[in-house]
Amino acid sequence: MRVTVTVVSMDRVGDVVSLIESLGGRVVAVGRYAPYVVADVPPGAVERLLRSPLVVRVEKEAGYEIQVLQEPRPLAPPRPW
Amino acid sequence: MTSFDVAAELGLPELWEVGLDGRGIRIAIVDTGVDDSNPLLRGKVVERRDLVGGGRSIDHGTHVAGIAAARQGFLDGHHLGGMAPGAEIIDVKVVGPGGKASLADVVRGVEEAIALGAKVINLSLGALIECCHSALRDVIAAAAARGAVVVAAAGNYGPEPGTVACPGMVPDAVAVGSVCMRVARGEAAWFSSRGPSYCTWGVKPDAVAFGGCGDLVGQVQPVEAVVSTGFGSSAAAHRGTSQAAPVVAGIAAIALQAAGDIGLEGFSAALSRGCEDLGEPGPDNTFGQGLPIPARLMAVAGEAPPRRATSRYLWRGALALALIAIAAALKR
Repeated sequence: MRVTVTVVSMDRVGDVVSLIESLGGRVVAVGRYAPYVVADVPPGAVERLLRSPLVVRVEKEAGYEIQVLQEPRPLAPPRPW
Repeated sequence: MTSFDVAAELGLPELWEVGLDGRGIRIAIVDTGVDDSNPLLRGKVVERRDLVGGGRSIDHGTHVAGIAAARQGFLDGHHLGGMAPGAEIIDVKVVGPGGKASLADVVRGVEEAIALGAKVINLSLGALIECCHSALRDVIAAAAARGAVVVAAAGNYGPEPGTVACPGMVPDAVAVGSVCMRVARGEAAWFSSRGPSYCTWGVKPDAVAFGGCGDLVGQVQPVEAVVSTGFGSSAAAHRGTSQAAPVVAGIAAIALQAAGDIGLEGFSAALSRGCEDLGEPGPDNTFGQGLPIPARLMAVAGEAPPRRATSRYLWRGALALALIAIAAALKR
Protein backbone atom coordinates (compact mmCIF):
# COMPACT_ATOMS: atom_id res chain seq x y z
CA MET A 1 0.00 0.00 0.00
CA ARG A 2 1.21 3.49 -0.85
CA VAL A 3 0.12 6.99 -0.04
CA THR A 4 0.21 9.97 -2.36
CA VAL A 5 2.01 12.94 -0.87
CA THR A 6 3.10 16.35 -2.02
CA VAL A 7 6.58 17.10 -0.74
CA VAL A 8 7.56 20.74 -0.51
CA SER A 9 11.32 21.08 -0.64
CA MET A 10 13.73 23.84 0.30
CA ASP A 11 14.74 24.68 -3.24
CA ARG A 12 16.54 21.81 -5.01
CA VAL A 13 13.84 19.41 -6.11
CA GLY A 14 16.37 17.00 -7.63
CA ASP A 15 17.74 16.01 -4.24
CA VAL A 16 14.24 15.32 -2.95
CA VAL A 17 13.48 13.17 -6.00
CA SER A 18 16.54 11.08 -5.20
CA LEU A 19 15.52 10.84 -1.58
CA ILE A 20 11.99 9.71 -2.46
CA GLU A 21 13.28 7.07 -4.83
CA SER A 22 15.78 5.83 -2.26
CA LEU A 23 12.87 5.32 0.13
CA GLY A 24 11.02 3.19 -2.41
CA GLY A 25 8.70 5.94 -3.62
CA ARG A 26 7.58 6.73 -7.16
CA VAL A 27 7.65 10.31 -8.37
CA VAL A 28 4.40 11.33 -10.09
CA ALA A 29 5.09 14.99 -10.85
CA VAL A 30 7.73 17.63 -10.23
CA GLY A 31 6.89 21.29 -9.82
CA ARG A 32 7.76 23.67 -12.63
CA TYR A 33 7.10 26.95 -10.85
CA ALA A 34 7.45 25.92 -7.22
CA PRO A 35 9.73 23.46 -5.42
CA TYR A 36 7.48 20.45 -4.85
CA VAL A 37 7.29 16.80 -5.79
CA VAL A 38 4.16 14.66 -5.94
CA ALA A 39 4.97 11.04 -5.15
CA ASP A 40 3.47 7.72 -4.19
CA VAL A 41 5.44 6.49 -1.19
CA PRO A 42 5.25 3.63 1.28
CA PRO A 43 3.54 4.84 4.50
CA GLY A 44 6.75 4.38 6.47
CA ALA A 45 8.59 6.78 4.21
CA VAL A 46 6.57 9.81 5.32
CA GLU A 47 8.28 10.05 8.71
CA ARG A 48 11.70 9.73 7.11
CA LEU A 49 10.88 12.43 4.60
CA LEU A 50 9.80 14.73 7.38
CA ARG A 51 13.13 14.21 9.15
CA SER A 52 15.12 15.22 6.09
CA PRO A 53 16.61 18.73 6.11
CA LEU A 54 15.77 18.93 2.39
CA VAL A 55 12.05 18.76 3.12
CA VAL A 56 9.95 21.68 4.33
CA ARG A 57 6.65 19.90 4.50
CA VAL A 58 4.90 16.69 3.51
CA GLU A 59 1.25 17.14 2.59
CA LYS A 60 -1.06 14.16 2.45
CA GLU A 61 -3.90 14.17 -0.02
CA ALA A 62 -6.91 16.31 0.83
CA GLY A 63 -10.25 16.40 -0.89
CA TYR A 64 -10.87 19.74 -2.58
CA GLU A 65 -14.52 20.22 -3.38
CA ILE A 66 -16.34 22.43 -5.85
CA GLN A 67 -18.03 25.19 -3.86
CA VAL A 68 -21.57 24.87 -5.15
CA LEU A 69 -24.68 23.97 -3.20
CA GLN A 70 -26.35 20.78 -4.29
CA GLU A 71 -29.68 21.96 -5.61
CA PRO A 72 -32.74 19.79 -5.25
CA ARG A 73 -34.69 22.00 -7.66
CA PRO A 74 -34.59 22.34 -11.44
CA LEU A 75 -34.05 25.62 -13.23
CA ALA A 76 -37.17 27.73 -12.89
CA PRO A 77 -38.61 29.45 -15.97
CA PRO A 78 -37.49 33.05 -16.48
CA ARG A 79 -39.49 35.70 -14.66
CA PRO A 80 -39.81 39.30 -15.80
CA TRP A 81 -38.70 41.93 -13.30
CA MET B 1 -35.83 30.10 -6.77
CA THR B 2 -34.96 33.43 -8.34
CA SER B 3 -32.31 33.74 -11.01
CA PHE B 4 -30.83 36.77 -12.72
CA ASP B 5 -28.43 38.20 -15.28
CA VAL B 6 -25.41 39.22 -13.19
CA ALA B 7 -23.56 41.04 -15.98
CA ALA B 8 -26.50 43.34 -16.69
CA GLU B 9 -27.02 43.94 -12.98
CA LEU B 10 -23.41 45.11 -12.65
CA GLY B 11 -23.64 47.43 -15.65
CA LEU B 12 -21.07 45.55 -17.69
CA PRO B 13 -22.77 46.08 -21.08
CA GLU B 14 -21.70 49.75 -20.88
CA LEU B 15 -18.06 48.67 -20.66
CA TRP B 16 -18.45 46.17 -23.48
CA GLU B 17 -19.74 48.98 -25.69
CA VAL B 18 -16.41 50.76 -25.39
CA GLY B 19 -14.46 47.59 -26.10
CA LEU B 20 -13.71 46.57 -22.52
CA ASP B 21 -14.79 42.94 -22.61
CA GLY B 22 -11.64 41.06 -21.61
CA ARG B 23 -10.34 40.53 -25.13
CA GLY B 24 -6.73 39.45 -25.28
CA ILE B 25 -6.91 38.00 -21.77
CA ARG B 26 -6.90 34.27 -21.04
CA ILE B 27 -8.94 33.03 -18.10
CA ALA B 28 -8.10 29.54 -16.84
CA ILE B 29 -11.00 27.59 -15.40
CA VAL B 30 -9.37 24.99 -13.17
CA ASP B 31 -12.42 22.86 -12.57
CA THR B 32 -14.53 19.93 -13.83
CA GLY B 33 -13.98 20.69 -17.51
CA VAL B 34 -15.75 23.05 -19.90
CA ASP B 35 -18.31 21.87 -22.44
CA ASP B 36 -17.76 24.26 -25.33
CA SER B 37 -20.50 22.66 -27.41
CA ASN B 38 -22.73 25.12 -25.60
CA PRO B 39 -23.43 27.84 -28.20
CA LEU B 40 -22.43 30.63 -25.83
CA LEU B 41 -19.03 29.02 -25.25
CA ARG B 42 -18.38 27.69 -28.75
CA GLY B 43 -14.92 28.60 -29.99
CA LYS B 44 -13.91 30.22 -26.71
CA VAL B 45 -11.79 27.40 -25.30
CA VAL B 46 -8.32 27.98 -26.74
CA GLU B 47 -6.41 25.44 -24.66
CA ARG B 48 -7.46 22.32 -22.83
CA ARG B 49 -5.73 20.04 -20.32
CA ASP B 50 -7.30 17.06 -18.61
CA LEU B 51 -5.35 15.91 -15.56
CA VAL B 52 -7.89 13.41 -14.24
CA GLY B 53 -9.80 11.87 -17.18
CA GLY B 54 -13.20 10.32 -16.73
CA GLY B 55 -15.27 12.62 -18.94
CA ARG B 56 -17.56 15.39 -17.75
CA SER B 57 -20.43 14.33 -15.53
CA ILE B 58 -20.89 17.61 -13.66
CA ASP B 59 -21.66 20.89 -15.42
CA HIS B 60 -19.88 22.95 -12.75
CA GLY B 61 -16.88 23.95 -14.87
CA THR B 62 -19.13 24.81 -17.81
CA HIS B 63 -21.31 26.94 -15.55
CA VAL B 64 -18.33 28.74 -14.02
CA ALA B 65 -16.74 29.34 -17.43
CA GLY B 66 -19.99 30.82 -18.65
CA ILE B 67 -20.16 33.27 -15.75
CA ALA B 68 -16.61 34.40 -16.45
CA ALA B 69 -16.60 34.63 -20.22
CA ALA B 70 -19.66 33.34 -22.13
CA ARG B 71 -20.87 35.49 -24.98
CA GLN B 72 -24.33 37.01 -24.75
CA GLY B 73 -27.38 35.06 -25.83
CA PHE B 74 -30.50 33.20 -24.89
CA LEU B 75 -30.60 29.68 -23.48
CA ASP B 76 -33.81 28.00 -22.33
CA GLY B 77 -35.51 31.39 -22.47
CA HIS B 78 -32.96 33.07 -20.20
CA HIS B 79 -30.81 35.95 -21.37
CA LEU B 80 -27.37 35.36 -20.03
CA GLY B 81 -23.70 35.91 -20.66
CA GLY B 82 -20.38 36.18 -18.95
CA MET B 83 -18.63 39.13 -17.38
CA ALA B 84 -15.83 39.21 -19.94
CA PRO B 85 -17.32 37.88 -23.20
CA GLY B 86 -14.20 38.80 -25.15
CA ALA B 87 -11.83 36.77 -22.98
CA GLU B 88 -10.45 33.40 -24.01
CA ILE B 89 -10.88 30.32 -21.86
CA ILE B 90 -8.26 27.79 -20.83
CA ASP B 91 -9.97 24.63 -19.66
CA VAL B 92 -7.93 22.76 -17.04
CA LYS B 93 -9.78 19.75 -15.70
CA VAL B 94 -8.69 18.69 -12.22
CA VAL B 95 -12.01 17.73 -10.62
CA GLY B 96 -13.30 14.20 -11.00
CA PRO B 97 -16.86 12.92 -11.39
CA GLY B 98 -17.63 13.18 -7.66
CA GLY B 99 -16.92 16.91 -7.59
CA LYS B 100 -13.64 16.35 -5.73
CA ALA B 101 -10.07 17.03 -6.63
CA SER B 102 -6.81 15.98 -5.08
CA LEU B 103 -4.31 18.51 -3.79
CA ALA B 104 -1.71 17.30 -6.29
CA ASP B 105 -4.07 17.81 -9.23
CA VAL B 106 -5.09 21.31 -8.10
CA VAL B 107 -1.43 22.28 -7.74
CA ARG B 108 -0.59 20.84 -11.15
CA GLY B 109 -3.68 22.51 -12.62
CA VAL B 110 -2.52 25.94 -11.51
CA GLU B 111 0.89 25.23 -13.00
CA GLU B 112 -0.71 24.22 -16.32
CA ALA B 113 -2.69 27.46 -16.30
CA ILE B 114 0.51 29.48 -15.77
CA ALA B 115 2.28 27.59 -18.53
CA LEU B 116 -0.60 28.20 -20.95
CA GLY B 117 -0.46 31.94 -20.42
CA ALA B 118 -3.45 32.50 -18.19
CA LYS B 119 -3.63 36.02 -16.79
CA VAL B 120 -6.60 35.15 -14.60
CA ILE B 121 -6.93 31.76 -12.90
CA ASN B 122 -10.28 30.83 -11.39
CA LEU B 123 -10.48 28.23 -8.62
CA SER B 124 -14.11 27.60 -7.69
CA LEU B 125 -13.08 24.91 -5.27
CA GLY B 126 -11.71 24.59 -1.80
CA ALA B 127 -11.13 22.54 1.29
CA LEU B 128 -11.46 23.51 4.90
CA ILE B 129 -7.84 22.81 5.69
CA GLU B 130 -4.86 24.99 6.50
CA CYS B 131 -2.57 25.48 3.50
CA CYS B 132 -0.53 28.50 4.54
CA HIS B 133 2.85 26.90 3.79
CA SER B 134 1.82 24.46 1.11
CA ALA B 135 2.72 23.67 -2.47
CA LEU B 136 -0.62 25.20 -3.47
CA ARG B 137 0.32 28.48 -1.82
CA ASP B 138 3.70 28.34 -3.58
CA VAL B 139 2.23 27.88 -7.06
CA ILE B 140 -0.36 30.61 -6.45
CA ALA B 141 2.49 32.91 -5.41
CA ALA B 142 4.35 31.86 -8.56
CA ALA B 143 1.31 32.78 -10.66
CA ALA B 144 1.12 36.18 -8.96
CA ALA B 145 4.83 36.73 -9.54
CA ARG B 146 4.18 36.20 -13.26
CA GLY B 147 1.45 38.83 -13.32
CA ALA B 148 -1.57 36.56 -13.04
CA VAL B 149 -4.54 37.12 -10.76
CA VAL B 150 -5.72 33.97 -8.97
CA VAL B 151 -9.36 34.18 -7.89
CA ALA B 152 -10.71 31.56 -5.50
CA ALA B 153 -14.09 30.76 -3.99
CA ALA B 154 -14.10 31.78 -0.33
CA GLY B 155 -15.95 28.57 0.45
CA ASN B 156 -19.45 27.50 1.43
CA TYR B 157 -18.57 26.83 5.06
CA GLY B 158 -20.13 29.93 6.64
CA PRO B 159 -21.53 31.71 8.43
CA GLU B 160 -19.10 31.04 11.30
CA PRO B 161 -15.90 33.12 11.44
CA GLY B 162 -12.59 31.69 10.28
CA THR B 163 -14.15 29.45 7.65
CA VAL B 164 -12.49 30.78 4.49
CA ALA B 165 -11.26 27.68 2.70
CA CYS B 166 -7.95 26.80 1.14
CA PRO B 167 -6.82 28.17 -1.30
CA GLY B 168 -8.87 31.33 -0.70
CA MET B 169 -7.13 31.80 2.65
CA VAL B 170 -3.66 32.32 1.17
CA PRO B 171 -2.49 35.92 0.75
CA ASP B 172 -1.89 35.76 -3.02
CA ALA B 173 -5.39 34.50 -3.83
CA VAL B 174 -8.35 36.85 -4.22
CA ALA B 175 -11.02 35.10 -2.15
CA VAL B 176 -14.60 35.86 -3.12
CA GLY B 177 -17.67 35.43 -0.95
CA SER B 178 -21.28 35.48 -2.08
CA VAL B 179 -24.03 38.02 -1.52
CA CYS B 180 -27.70 38.20 -2.43
CA MET B 181 -28.61 40.32 -5.42
CA ARG B 182 -32.32 40.88 -5.71
CA VAL B 183 -34.50 40.29 -2.71
CA ALA B 184 -31.95 41.18 -0.06
CA ARG B 185 -29.33 42.99 -2.16
CA GLY B 186 -25.91 43.04 -0.55
CA GLU B 187 -26.80 40.73 2.31
CA ALA B 188 -24.16 38.04 2.82
CA ALA B 189 -25.23 34.57 1.77
CA TRP B 190 -25.68 32.40 4.83
CA PHE B 191 -23.35 29.76 3.45
CA SER B 192 -20.56 32.13 2.41
CA SER B 193 -17.37 31.60 4.41
CA ARG B 194 -16.22 34.37 6.73
CA GLY B 195 -12.72 35.51 7.63
CA PRO B 196 -10.26 36.19 9.01
CA SER B 197 -7.62 34.35 7.04
CA TYR B 198 -6.15 31.43 8.89
CA CYS B 199 -2.79 32.31 7.31
CA THR B 200 -2.43 35.97 8.20
CA TRP B 201 -5.36 36.72 10.50
CA GLY B 202 -5.97 39.52 8.05
CA VAL B 203 -9.25 40.30 6.31
CA LYS B 204 -10.76 37.60 4.10
CA PRO B 205 -12.64 37.26 1.84
CA ASP B 206 -11.13 39.95 -0.36
CA ALA B 207 -14.44 40.82 -2.02
CA VAL B 208 -17.95 39.53 -2.59
CA ALA B 209 -20.05 39.04 -5.70
CA PHE B 210 -23.45 37.80 -6.71
CA GLY B 211 -23.11 34.05 -6.44
CA GLY B 212 -26.57 33.38 -5.15
CA CYS B 213 -27.78 33.11 -1.62
CA GLY B 214 -30.36 31.51 0.61
CA ASP B 215 -30.47 28.42 2.71
CA LEU B 216 -31.48 25.04 1.40
CA VAL B 217 -35.19 25.48 2.02
CA GLY B 218 -35.42 29.25 1.66
CA GLN B 219 -36.50 29.97 5.23
CA VAL B 220 -33.52 31.95 6.50
CA GLN B 221 -32.92 33.79 3.23
CA PRO B 222 -34.74 33.85 -0.09
CA VAL B 223 -33.11 31.47 -2.53
CA GLU B 224 -31.33 33.07 -5.47
CA ALA B 225 -29.14 31.38 -8.03
CA VAL B 226 -27.02 32.35 -11.01
CA VAL B 227 -28.09 31.21 -14.44
CA SER B 228 -25.25 30.32 -16.76
CA THR B 229 -24.20 27.81 -19.37
CA GLY B 230 -24.90 24.12 -18.85
CA PHE B 231 -24.20 21.02 -20.91
CA GLY B 232 -25.06 21.13 -24.59
CA SER B 233 -27.44 23.93 -25.40
CA SER B 234 -28.92 24.20 -21.94
CA ALA B 235 -28.85 26.79 -19.18
CA ALA B 236 -28.36 25.84 -15.55
CA ALA B 237 -28.90 27.60 -12.23
CA HIS B 238 -26.44 27.08 -9.42
CA ARG B 239 -25.39 29.01 -6.35
CA GLY B 240 -22.39 29.11 -4.12
CA THR B 241 -19.11 30.93 -3.79
CA SER B 242 -18.20 28.84 -6.86
CA GLN B 243 -20.48 31.19 -8.77
CA ALA B 244 -19.22 34.35 -7.07
CA ALA B 245 -15.55 33.74 -7.90
CA PRO B 246 -15.90 33.81 -11.72
CA VAL B 247 -17.78 37.11 -11.50
CA VAL B 248 -14.63 38.65 -10.04
CA ALA B 249 -12.43 36.62 -12.42
CA GLY B 250 -14.27 38.17 -15.37
CA ILE B 251 -13.98 41.64 -13.89
CA ALA B 252 -10.26 41.02 -13.32
CA ALA B 253 -9.86 40.11 -17.00
CA ILE B 254 -11.44 43.41 -18.02
CA ALA B 255 -9.26 45.31 -15.53
CA LEU B 256 -6.11 43.68 -16.94
CA GLN B 257 -7.26 44.54 -20.46
CA ALA B 258 -8.01 48.12 -19.47
CA ALA B 259 -4.97 48.87 -17.32
CA GLY B 260 -2.30 46.62 -18.75
CA ASP B 261 -0.09 44.29 -16.81
CA ILE B 262 -1.09 45.45 -13.35
CA GLY B 263 -0.98 41.96 -11.83
CA LEU B 264 -2.33 41.00 -8.43
CA GLU B 265 -0.90 44.07 -6.73
CA GLY B 266 -2.60 46.45 -9.14
CA PHE B 267 -5.86 44.54 -9.15
CA SER B 268 -5.96 44.40 -5.33
CA ALA B 269 -5.34 48.14 -5.19
CA ALA B 270 -8.15 48.70 -7.68
CA LEU B 271 -10.43 46.46 -5.61
CA SER B 272 -9.72 48.55 -2.54
CA ARG B 273 -11.07 51.64 -4.32
CA GLY B 274 -13.54 50.19 -6.79
CA CYS B 275 -15.96 48.37 -4.52
CA GLU B 276 -19.26 49.27 -2.95
CA ASP B 277 -18.61 49.01 0.77
CA LEU B 278 -21.03 46.64 2.47
CA GLY B 279 -21.62 45.91 6.13
CA GLU B 280 -19.41 47.70 8.63
CA PRO B 281 -17.54 50.69 7.16
CA GLY B 282 -14.24 49.58 5.64
CA PRO B 283 -12.98 46.08 4.87
CA ASP B 284 -14.40 43.35 7.04
CA ASN B 285 -14.40 39.59 7.34
CA THR B 286 -17.81 39.11 5.78
CA PHE B 287 -17.59 41.27 2.67
CA GLY B 288 -13.89 42.07 2.35
CA GLN B 289 -13.54 45.26 0.31
CA GLY B 290 -17.16 44.86 -0.73
CA LEU B 291 -18.93 44.41 -4.04
CA PRO B 292 -16.78 45.27 -7.08
CA ILE B 293 -18.49 47.86 -9.26
CA PRO B 294 -16.90 47.33 -12.68
CA ALA B 295 -17.17 50.91 -13.98
CA ARG B 296 -15.75 52.31 -10.75
CA LEU B 297 -13.03 49.69 -10.65
CA MET B 298 -11.95 50.36 -14.25
CA ALA B 299 -11.74 54.07 -13.51
CA VAL B 300 -9.19 53.47 -10.76
CA ALA B 301 -7.46 50.37 -12.19
CA GLY B 302 -4.99 52.45 -14.22
CA GLU B 303 -4.20 54.57 -11.20
CA ALA B 304 -3.21 51.62 -9.09
CA PRO B 305 0.50 51.21 -8.45
CA PRO B 306 1.26 48.60 -11.10
CA ARG B 307 4.58 46.84 -11.35
CA ARG B 308 5.40 47.29 -14.99
CA ALA B 309 3.00 50.05 -15.90
CA THR B 310 4.93 52.59 -13.83
CA SER B 311 7.34 53.33 -16.67
CA ARG B 312 4.37 53.83 -19.00
CA TYR B 313 2.99 56.56 -16.75
CA LEU B 314 6.41 58.18 -16.52
CA TRP B 315 6.56 58.27 -20.31
CA ARG B 316 3.08 59.75 -20.48
CA GLY B 317 4.09 62.42 -17.96
CA ALA B 318 7.28 63.22 -19.89
CA LEU B 319 5.31 63.45 -23.14
CA ALA B 320 2.79 65.80 -21.55
CA LEU B 321 5.61 68.06 -20.26
CA ALA B 322 7.23 68.08 -23.71
CA LEU B 323 3.95 69.10 -25.36
CA ILE B 324 3.50 71.90 -22.82
CA ALA B 325 7.06 73.13 -23.52
CA ILE B 326 6.47 73.07 -27.30
CA ALA B 327 3.19 74.92 -26.90
CA ALA B 328 4.91 77.57 -24.74
CA ALA B 329 7.73 77.96 -27.31
CA LEU B 330 5.25 78.38 -30.17
CA LYS B 331 3.36 80.97 -28.15
CA ARG B 332 6.52 83.06 -27.81
